Amino acid sequence: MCQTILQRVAAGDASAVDACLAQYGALVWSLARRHCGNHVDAEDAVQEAFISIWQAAKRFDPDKGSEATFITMIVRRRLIDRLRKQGRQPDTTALENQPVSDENHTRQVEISEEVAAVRRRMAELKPDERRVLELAISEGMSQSEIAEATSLPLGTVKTHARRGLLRLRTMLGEDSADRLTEAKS
Amino acid sequence: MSSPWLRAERHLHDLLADRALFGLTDGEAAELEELLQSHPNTDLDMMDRLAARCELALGIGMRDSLPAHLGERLRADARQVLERNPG
Repeated sequence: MCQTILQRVAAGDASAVDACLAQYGALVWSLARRHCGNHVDAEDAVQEAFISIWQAAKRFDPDKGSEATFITMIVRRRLIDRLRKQGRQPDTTALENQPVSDENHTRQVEISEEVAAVRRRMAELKPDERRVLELAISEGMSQSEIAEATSLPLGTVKTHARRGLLRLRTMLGEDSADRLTEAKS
Repeated sequence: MSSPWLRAERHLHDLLADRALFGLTDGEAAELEELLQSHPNTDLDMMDRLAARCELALGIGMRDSLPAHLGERLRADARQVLERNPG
């Protein structure tokens, strides 16, 4: 069976490191730049993230999701920990200069079916829940920053974030069950 | 009325959601550890994976490749990690 890049890294294949950097380096760099306030921070964050990726490679399970999802998960954890330790919030002016999506000039992460399903279901969330999740996830805002940006009470932000993510998980669980039913029929 | 076990499971899922979105304080992390003792079959990464999929779904445009000098640092780190943990 063909091994994935991370499986090869976990097996100690040094050539897989280059493959991983070629395949996911730009993704990790883009995530770091999205959430870090400046270039230097982003470089340090990327270095920390890849160390975590090399160490976590053996935990990658293709049955639970794609490599892009696994790597994004590891990177997000490192970025969140880093921001909490620094006690700083991302400089949102950096985000204004870096459009998230510019199809004419940027490559996009290949949207797998699992991610496409999330996109569809996010559109079905209640508007406040969706907005809170967008601010938390793609802009890296803290709960208090979201409360300030949306004029929602802090407790409400916390509830919307939790309920939104849990509702999404339930809806996606239904999608998986439907696919399983279709596969069997 | 929900059972204590069910309430604990809901609180566990809430903490996993908080961790995936915002991170946890030391106190919350300790709470999570304690809840995991009584729910050992919990998929620890489920909310983090979902948040990752959400980030990808919200669009991440890749304007620039990894800077070359950074790539060299990453390769050096990888060599050290792989030497310490051969497959």
